[in-house]
Amino acid sequence: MIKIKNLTVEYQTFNGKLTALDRVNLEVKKGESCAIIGPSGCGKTTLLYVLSGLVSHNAGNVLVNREPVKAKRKKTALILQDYGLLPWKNVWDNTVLGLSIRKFSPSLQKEKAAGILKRLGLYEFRNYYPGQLSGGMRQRVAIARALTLDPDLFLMDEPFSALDAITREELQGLILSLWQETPATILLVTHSIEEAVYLGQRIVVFSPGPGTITANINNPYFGDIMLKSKPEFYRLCNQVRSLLEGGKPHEIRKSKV
Amino acid sequence: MKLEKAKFKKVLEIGGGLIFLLLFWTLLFLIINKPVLPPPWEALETFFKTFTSLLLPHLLQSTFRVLVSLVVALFLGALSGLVIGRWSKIDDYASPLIYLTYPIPKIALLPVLMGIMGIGEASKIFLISLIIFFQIMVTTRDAVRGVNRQIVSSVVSLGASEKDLFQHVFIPASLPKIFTSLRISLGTAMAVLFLTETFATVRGIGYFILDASMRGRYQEVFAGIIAMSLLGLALFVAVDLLERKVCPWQYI
Repeated sequence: MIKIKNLTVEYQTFNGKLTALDRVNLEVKKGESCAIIGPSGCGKTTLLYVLSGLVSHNAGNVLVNREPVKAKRKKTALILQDYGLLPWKNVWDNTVLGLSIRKFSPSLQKEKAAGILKRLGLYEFRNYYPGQLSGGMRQRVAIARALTLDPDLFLMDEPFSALDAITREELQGLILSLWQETPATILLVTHSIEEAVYLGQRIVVFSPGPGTITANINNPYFGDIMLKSKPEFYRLCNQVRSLLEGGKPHEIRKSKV
Repeated sequence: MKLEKAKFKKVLEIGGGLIFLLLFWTLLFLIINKPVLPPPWEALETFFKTFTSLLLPHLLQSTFRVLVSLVVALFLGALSGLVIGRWSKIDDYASPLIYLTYPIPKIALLPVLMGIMGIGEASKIFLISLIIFFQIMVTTRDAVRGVNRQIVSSVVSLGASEKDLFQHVFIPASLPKIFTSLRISLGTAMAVLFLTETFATVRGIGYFILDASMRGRYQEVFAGIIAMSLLGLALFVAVDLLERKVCPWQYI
């Protein structure tokens, strides 16, 4: 599904060139859920934006479904930390936005959106504005909006980091059960070890900027809704934590510069 | 029931302001005690007595001028603000131009404008529009610039074209700011209106006030001022109501 070869991304900043990603190689299979974890500033968000086609890359190859990445790929859904909802549209209009932009017929829009909103428990709130909803519900609206387009690739950038612990776990469970219903490819960027272990079939650890991949672990426990209450969960969390801490000296050196 | 209560509260709020103003006016009248400042009751009496016969034609003329100016400036200001705010390359060239021309006291151009466009409505409306155009354009530009990048990214990822972005993101995002600039512009427009009406015209509330003051009829001066302030109030209320209609998410 995703094939990234020697991807390098550089930004022009006030202080000169900044390398966000340095020769990254990554492959994600169709229907696989891949969690990307790393310290802030490691370029993991940049990677997501490159895959969504919103940021261009300087060197390397990025293929999504064997095609060079481009913006507006119809089956890619982008879910962001602050939801990306439009405050001036109510839940219903936010949900059908993708469908209406892509000129689906009104009856099809209605049918799809109603079904998805009911599935996510949002149908009763369809006339509410985002400002009237809790953070968890807003993110659920964003997920609903993404689902209307039947995506085969979900790109999620720290989708739950602004939520409280209980809501976060609830939505993580939702993502897992949605994935079990229709396994789409998921690329989840997170800075939470627990989230990476719970939602990542594969866990990719990034070094501090410029980002390079330092570890790529298979997660044999993925898919278990009850995983969080099991000792294996904590063992794997600890393993990921020590891998993350392995990158620390590099960070200290960088901050002195 | 709730609506009735809210309406009652609104009336009370406006009434309270009115009573305060009238008391303040009376107090000033008692302190100054000169014919230039008539007491409010005399001014109000003149206002009601002369409203249909004398004031109304002037008032309608002024309303027409200020409304047309507002609509023209709103349309052109919002449009150019959206364009300049969206494309930073245009902004790079437009901003220096704006900052050079914005501070020019455009009222000084009134005689020039009248020389070019004649002494009719065109030159007055053009001047008022020109002055408030800048306020609306700069506010709209900044509103578009300030749109959350994550919202833009999300909507682009849904397949939005540039036209979709304007329709779904940039225009609604800047509407509340446009309304704010419209309110500020309204005050400016009224002030400029008065000035243009004291110049080569015999119609309009500004002319009426100036004419009455030249003839020393201060009751009429203040009747004119009352008319002007009521016109302002009506326009402000209209803008508020319009905003409620157009931007319901602002009132949740």
